Amino acid sequence: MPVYSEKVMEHFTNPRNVGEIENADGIGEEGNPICGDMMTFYIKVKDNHLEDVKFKTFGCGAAIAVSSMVSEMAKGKTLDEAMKITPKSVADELEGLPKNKFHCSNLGAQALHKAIQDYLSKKKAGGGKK
Amino acid sequence: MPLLDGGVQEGGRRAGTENIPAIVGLGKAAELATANMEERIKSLTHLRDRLLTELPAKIAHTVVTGHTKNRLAGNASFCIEFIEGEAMLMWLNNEGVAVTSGSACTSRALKASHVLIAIGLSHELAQGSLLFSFGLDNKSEDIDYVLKVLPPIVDRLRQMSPLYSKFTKTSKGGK
Repeated sequence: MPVYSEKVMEHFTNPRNVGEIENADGIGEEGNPICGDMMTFYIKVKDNHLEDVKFKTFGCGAAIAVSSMVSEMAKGKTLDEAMKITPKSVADELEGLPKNKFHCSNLGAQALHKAIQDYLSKKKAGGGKK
Repeated sequence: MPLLDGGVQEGGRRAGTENIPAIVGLGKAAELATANMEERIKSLTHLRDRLLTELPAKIAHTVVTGHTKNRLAGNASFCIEFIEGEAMLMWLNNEGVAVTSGSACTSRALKASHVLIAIGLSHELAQGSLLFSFGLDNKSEDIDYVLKVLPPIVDRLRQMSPLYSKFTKTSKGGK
């Protein structure tokens, strides 16, 4: 097992915002079981802000901690601010990730961005009801 | 340039002297190991068979990997569906259970075991690999303990697994 930071262990053992959002405004999925990590993010948008963020994750300790951290970082932010969350900023908030986990397990930001893009494209298609 | 040189007593091929204590020690260890081998195989097989039958009975969607009988006496391995091995290891470690998710040579690799893939398991199933090795000090109570602590860990990880939620949604009420 890799040596994880205390922050990673804390988010792994007590992950925030686990779950799904019914009738989510946007859903984003990243990763696949071949790499060993897969994350799905659900968002609820209100007044251009992320009112709620939830996730489900299949993966190692790092993947679970990353998802939890991303959900926490994103909640309450504007869509633009949330799009600026990067794998690097997530790893920094987690006080570092083992080298071999940085790419494979650090997919939370991408999954969140996909959920936001999903929301934006739906909004465009649906004539912007929000 | 040879790595080692000299030593007429070794035909000029290698310097140094035989490590007598280690040679004697290895011989003694082999003697001790074979002395009680039958008995040890019996007790390890009992532990192994208990886990091989009782774990899949306790945790749905668990696959025994390898043969149920023709395998090492102290070895039991499984794949637990919808979740990933390392996360299980971390929780088990917290509970004082030391197991692995793959062979020592793959413990730093992130990809699923090529052996599990070769015997026909899907990548997602192979990622949930769990490998138990028993030794002299293990008792039947250790099996009881694993059977007690592992199911809630699996449950917790499945509750956050997108693969499990897809499965329950498509199979409607499959537990």
